[in-house]
Amino acid sequence: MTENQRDKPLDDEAPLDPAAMLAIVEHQQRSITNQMGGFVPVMTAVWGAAWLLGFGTLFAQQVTGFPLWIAIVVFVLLLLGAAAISTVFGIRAGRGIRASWQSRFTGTVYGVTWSFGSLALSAIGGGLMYNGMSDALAQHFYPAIYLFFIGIMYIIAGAIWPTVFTIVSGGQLVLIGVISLFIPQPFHLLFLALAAGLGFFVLAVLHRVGQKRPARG
Amino acid sequence: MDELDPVIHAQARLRIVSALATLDPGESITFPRLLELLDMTAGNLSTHLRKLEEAEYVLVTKSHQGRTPVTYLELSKAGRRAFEDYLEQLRGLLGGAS
Repeated sequence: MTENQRDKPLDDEAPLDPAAMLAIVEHQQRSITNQMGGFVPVMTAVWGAAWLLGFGTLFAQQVTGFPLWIAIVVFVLLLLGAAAISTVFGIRAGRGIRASWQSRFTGTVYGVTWSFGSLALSAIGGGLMYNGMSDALAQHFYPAIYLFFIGIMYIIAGAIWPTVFTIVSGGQLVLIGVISLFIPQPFHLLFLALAAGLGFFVLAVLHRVGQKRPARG
Repeated sequence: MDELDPVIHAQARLRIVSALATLDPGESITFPRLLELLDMTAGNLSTHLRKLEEAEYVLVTKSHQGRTPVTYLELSKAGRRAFEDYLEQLRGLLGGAS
């Protein structure tokens, strides 16, 4: 059976044996899941590129000494670009689907939590700096706390819309954020670039391989 | 063992019901999007949807997006239950394999 089997009007009424009918169910549901979520490996690779290049730029700034503001602008633009691409993918995948009231509520609260949480972390960082956190410590604090937050949000997303892949991605980000705190500057930035960037590329490949695996039966 | 539900026990309708069952309860999908996902012909999809609607397994809701009429489709509670019963029966026939 092909990925999108074109039905044949003459024999599509005819039932097959139970094993073949069960195979139709599994194949069809896998096909739908892959068509709706086919963008996930690409989106994961986009985030891998954003982490790799973003933290790589911050590391390069520390090593070569070009203006910090340039590195920060590049970093923020890369993350905003990846977020924009994710949003477009998400909207495309959901086209033609009318969500239930509960789904819309969950989606809205989850979306607002991203903005609210990001702003809160920014304020927490500001508060810590106001109370004497040094610039050097801030360079460790901000990436770690944001990766922790993003990772937790991934895990929550994986719990709401059950996906083990998203939970694993989130757990990976939390771990990377925590480990980075124990790596001396500026090599923690190199670690973040490689671990988050390449780690997401590996996850993208694994997810793509999982999508191509044939259904059982 | 009861006889398999003849409404679902047909290849095309089983594909349609399997696809609709991937949506959460309360979620619905437009006719063109379902057509695209199933890669059926419009005529064939309409024919089988009508049979599913007659059996009250599929709910059809007409709506508007601006001035464009939109048809939304979803499994009814009875349809979702019938699909689950059908799967259980199939697995039973196959000796309890999941």
